[in-house]
Amino acid sequence: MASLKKIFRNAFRKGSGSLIESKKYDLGTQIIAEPASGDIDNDGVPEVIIGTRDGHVIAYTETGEKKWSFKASGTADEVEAMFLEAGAENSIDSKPFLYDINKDGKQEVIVGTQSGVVYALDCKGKHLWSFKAGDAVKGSAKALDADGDGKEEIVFGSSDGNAYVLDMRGKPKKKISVGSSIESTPAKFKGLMIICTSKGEIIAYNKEYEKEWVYKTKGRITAEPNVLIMKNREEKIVVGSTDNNLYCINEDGTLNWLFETKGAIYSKAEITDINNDREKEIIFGSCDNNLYVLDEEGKRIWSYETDFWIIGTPLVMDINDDGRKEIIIGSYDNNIYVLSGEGVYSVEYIPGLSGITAQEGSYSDINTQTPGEVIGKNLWLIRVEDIVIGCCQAGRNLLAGTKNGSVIWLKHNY
Amino acid sequence: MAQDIVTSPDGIKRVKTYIKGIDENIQGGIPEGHITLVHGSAGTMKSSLCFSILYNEAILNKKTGLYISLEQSFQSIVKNMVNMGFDMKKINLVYIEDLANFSSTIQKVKKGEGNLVVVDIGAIRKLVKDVKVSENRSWLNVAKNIVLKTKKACDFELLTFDSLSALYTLSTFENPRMELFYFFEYLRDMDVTSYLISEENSSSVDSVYDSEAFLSDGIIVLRMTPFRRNIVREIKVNKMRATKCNNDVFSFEYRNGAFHALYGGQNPLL
Repeated sequence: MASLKKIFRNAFRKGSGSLIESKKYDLGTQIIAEPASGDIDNDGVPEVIIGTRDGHVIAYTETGEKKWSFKASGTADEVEAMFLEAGAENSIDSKPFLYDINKDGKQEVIVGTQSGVVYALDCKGKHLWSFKAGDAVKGSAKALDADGDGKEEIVFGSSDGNAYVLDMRGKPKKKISVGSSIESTPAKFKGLMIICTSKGEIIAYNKEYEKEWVYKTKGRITAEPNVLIMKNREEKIVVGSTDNNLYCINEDGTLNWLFETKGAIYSKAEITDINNDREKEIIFGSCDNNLYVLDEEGKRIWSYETDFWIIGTPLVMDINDDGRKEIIIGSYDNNIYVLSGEGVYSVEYIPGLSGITAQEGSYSDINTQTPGEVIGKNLWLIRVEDIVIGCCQAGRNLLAGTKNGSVIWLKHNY
Repeated sequence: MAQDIVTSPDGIKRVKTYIKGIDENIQGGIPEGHITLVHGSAGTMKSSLCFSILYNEAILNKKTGLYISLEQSFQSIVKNMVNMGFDMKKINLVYIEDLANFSSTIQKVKKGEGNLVVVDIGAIRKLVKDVKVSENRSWLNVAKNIVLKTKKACDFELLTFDSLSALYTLSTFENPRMELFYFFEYLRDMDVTSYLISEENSSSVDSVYDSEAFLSDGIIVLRMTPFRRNIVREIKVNKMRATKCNNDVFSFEYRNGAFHALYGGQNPLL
């Protein structure tokens, strides 16, 4: 009966306390990139970095005080600018990349723009260097050792069909032609550099920049690939495609499994243990309106349906400090969902207990799957005024950026 | 774009089509800010009709119109209109054929006068053929930038886009309905009255025509119907939001310096 007790306790678990809006800014321009957070100035307090449609990079404190702002000026001439999205020549389309590129103990901010310029800013927003690619930079940059020399480089892709490898001072080391535009973020995997293209290819380059293998999906890849380390220590690449599938690829470039959804997948799948069972789960959103939680074999543990597309990367954090993780997702339905990482077990029938139907409980207490199924459980729902582009953690706060340029701080109140 | 709420039918401002027989049947014209699809096969006078609206509004109401031609050259358009009796000296005709000079050329628009800005994308395509245009740099962006920059420079009120069908051949639309939706919304945000030419019998158009028709505020269909040993041009207003309209098929003629919609020719009901 102890299990049943826990089932019922979890079934009726609601978010303790409440999430309240503590601050909100209207930036007067759109936001289409997910915000980033990190303690960039190493003062023990995290900052939040936002890139905007009109080319601003803005840093805030965790509680929403503005620290600095930088304006990308761009270098596109009048003809080039005409081919860029109207009014968004310097638009920052991807999550700022935070990394200590000069090993001074503080993180730099690296952003790319529609006009193809990649900027490196110091932790106070001062311009350090910039590099001009041949076309828009729509994915985030990444630091990885591309050439196997033991030093990390800055790697990013461009719509000009090239992946660029720069040293930490912004000097070009290598330009790799991949044959189609790149909107994704590179990844390092088993000594290989993974580049995903808008032709749907997942390409693995070795340290000589030669193709080790290519796996072709049927859609476009804008999502950043992520590395799954399995229980048996094997590593896999996990990435979604606009062909509606989430792919898990082996280290030799063959397919391990794929999980089919009914909508395009645009963002990175988060991989972490969300239910304290010491196993990694894969969490991602789809344009079929669902958030999915899979096990390492690609089996659905649970899913949660919102009212519209989920484009952003799910955020996993313990927002109410109860030792249990929550999953936070923004949806195109103008809501922020805070879901229990554990999900709940929806019991349809328990043998011997006639009359108990459709009860809910913690799925971890159920040894058999037959009486029901695990479903997602929403702890809080926060309605905002427009489409939620992305969320990030800002210390104990939750920050959300919306398409029409609102930046909202949410704080948990006990 | 925040707009005043209309409280009576008389409060709806309209732009004439300058087709005698049509304006009378659509409460005086097309509501301002509407996006109207002008649909028909080659030779049905779609371009001439749209040019005529911009030309007449420039002369009679001192409005500025923007005509974006994706395929037909500026010279060809003007030659055709002059041959129909249009006097280009009556309007301030501004011709843009080079994106590099766009900002300076658009300054030729005269405030308080009737202007017609013609952007010849065909000529521009020839000039930029050596400029690397990667797969995501679409001509749709060029069109939107032209609209935006012209709006900023001279606050134009009327737009003809000739044609959507040509745009589809120049740009790759991954999701046509969604991209068209955003394009239409973009035009609505610009607060201009738009005439989008859509070609019939184009395979690239057939698949998206339903989307165009659904998203537009009005549809004017032009067609040619065989009649005895001749061809009769016809016009029909299929749809016009916020308008009581006569949906009959009219004969469509251009004579004595004006377009006419007439009952006559082939019985429209047969």
